Amino acid sequence: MLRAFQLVIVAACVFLGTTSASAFDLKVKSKGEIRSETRYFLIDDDDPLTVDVNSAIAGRLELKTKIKKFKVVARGFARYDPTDLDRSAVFAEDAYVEYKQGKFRLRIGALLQNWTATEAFHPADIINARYLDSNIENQEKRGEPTIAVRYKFLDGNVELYYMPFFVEPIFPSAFSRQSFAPPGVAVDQVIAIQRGGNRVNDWEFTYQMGGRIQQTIGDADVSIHVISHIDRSTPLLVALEDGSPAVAYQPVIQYGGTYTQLFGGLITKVEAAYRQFYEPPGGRTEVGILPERPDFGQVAVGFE
Amino acid sequence: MLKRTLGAAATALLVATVGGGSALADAKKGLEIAKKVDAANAGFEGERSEIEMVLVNAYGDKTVRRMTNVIFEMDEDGDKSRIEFQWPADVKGTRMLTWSHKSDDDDQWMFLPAIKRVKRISSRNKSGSFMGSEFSYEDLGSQEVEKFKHTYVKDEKVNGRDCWVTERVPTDPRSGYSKQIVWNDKGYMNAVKIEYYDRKGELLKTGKFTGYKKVSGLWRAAAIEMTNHQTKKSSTLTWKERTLKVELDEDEFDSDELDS
Repeated sequence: MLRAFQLVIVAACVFLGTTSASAFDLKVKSKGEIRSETRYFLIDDDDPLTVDVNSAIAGRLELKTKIKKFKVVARGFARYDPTDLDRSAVFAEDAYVEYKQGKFRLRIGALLQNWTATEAFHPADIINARYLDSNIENQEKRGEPTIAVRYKFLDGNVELYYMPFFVEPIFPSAFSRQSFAPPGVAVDQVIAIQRGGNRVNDWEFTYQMGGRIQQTIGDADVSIHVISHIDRSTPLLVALEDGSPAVAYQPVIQYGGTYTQLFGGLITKVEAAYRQFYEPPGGRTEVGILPERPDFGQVAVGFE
Repeated sequence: MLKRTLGAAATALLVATVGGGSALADAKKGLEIAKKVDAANAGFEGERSEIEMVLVNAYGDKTVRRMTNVIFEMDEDGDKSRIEFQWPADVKGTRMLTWSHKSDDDDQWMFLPAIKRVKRISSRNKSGSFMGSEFSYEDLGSQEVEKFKHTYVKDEKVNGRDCWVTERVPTDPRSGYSKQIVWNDKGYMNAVKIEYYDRKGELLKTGKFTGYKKVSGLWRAAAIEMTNHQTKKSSTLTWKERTLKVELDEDEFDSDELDS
């Protein structure tokens, strides 16, 4: 399924980016960026396997076009790190078709969502698998395959989501100082546990859906959401049938929201989320009985 | 002695009454002119434009910024507008949404394209520079009649054209200006020159509005040149393309549309 999706994305980008688009009298808007990055860990871990200084080139390209009521967007990100080649990555951030009619909007494809209101901690911003070996404050995100239907009302909207595939995060390389595994050990097995206890791999079908309401009310911007999905932020280390280690993610229901309010010249921002882990019957899963995870909530508050 | 004192007092009272009456008349006329000009420019419904801004520093070095601007005319309140920056490349795709209000602070949001994030920003710092130019946010915001106290000063010609000269004092105590002197062209029903005075009452900037032409029956300036007399810098806004009476959907001016 991933292979087919990637082929569609590449074809769309080639079509939009070449003369094919102009042959159909399409106006293609593009923008991009390219930057050099350096990362230096001040405290050496004295481990010859890890890379303490990274230098990379990263870039982003976005292409958009409109055909009557349809809009096509393709946006990708790439990082090339010659100091740690395993850290290099290429992935789609947005790759979708949008249709608008009156107050309804439909988007199908990979979507990059940003539900955050605060600057450093983002408990409510939980859609999209992260590129975990990037900027901690604003990690790059992989586009989430989604069918999203939005209806506008008052000064905002309600949007419903169906996300049919589990998309795994991109883990730090075996030599990265940001790796969760011991130096030299790559995290190359990532699974998701479904509600029934069976496991799925990257880009396999799973059950994920939710909804979100956003409104501007006077000086305040408010959003609330409920999402039932595979949690991407709190992994478990499990042993597979062959004894090899894997990172596992579990299904959760998250209730959360954001609140931004202007008080004169001061902007107050609050972001909160409560995660309820779904326990399979008897705690049994395809990878054995998992430890019980306590439900928890998070709140972030900021002022600007 | 008493007669002289009484006479002096009567004269002073007469001068005060006539002077006060004259001041009231000037204020009334100033407000009438402001309302007339506002009414003459109303009814554009919607506007789409492409704008180029050239910044010139004290040494004559130039920097260019380009943006598109879409404005939705509101009947009962200030207009809603959406700016998208096109150039330079480091700000390309950044968008700013403004809901102007007649008597409250404007609501503003910014869209940051790299992280696809819409964030609310405070509009209180009106005197801040817009994109590094000599135009402040206050200069470019919707100039609602209610945001000023208007006083008629005199009639004067500018470039051979008859103008009303009025003084307007911002009602917002956080404004960057103590007053503005406005030359409103009687034919264009729009400003051709505005002098901006800083909080100390010193002349800070002069804005010159040129290239007036009729767009969909309404007079619009093709360019505004703002010269800062204190820093010797200047900035010019030029409308490359402008269309009025555009049919727009008010929903396009919601904050949840900024990332579209």
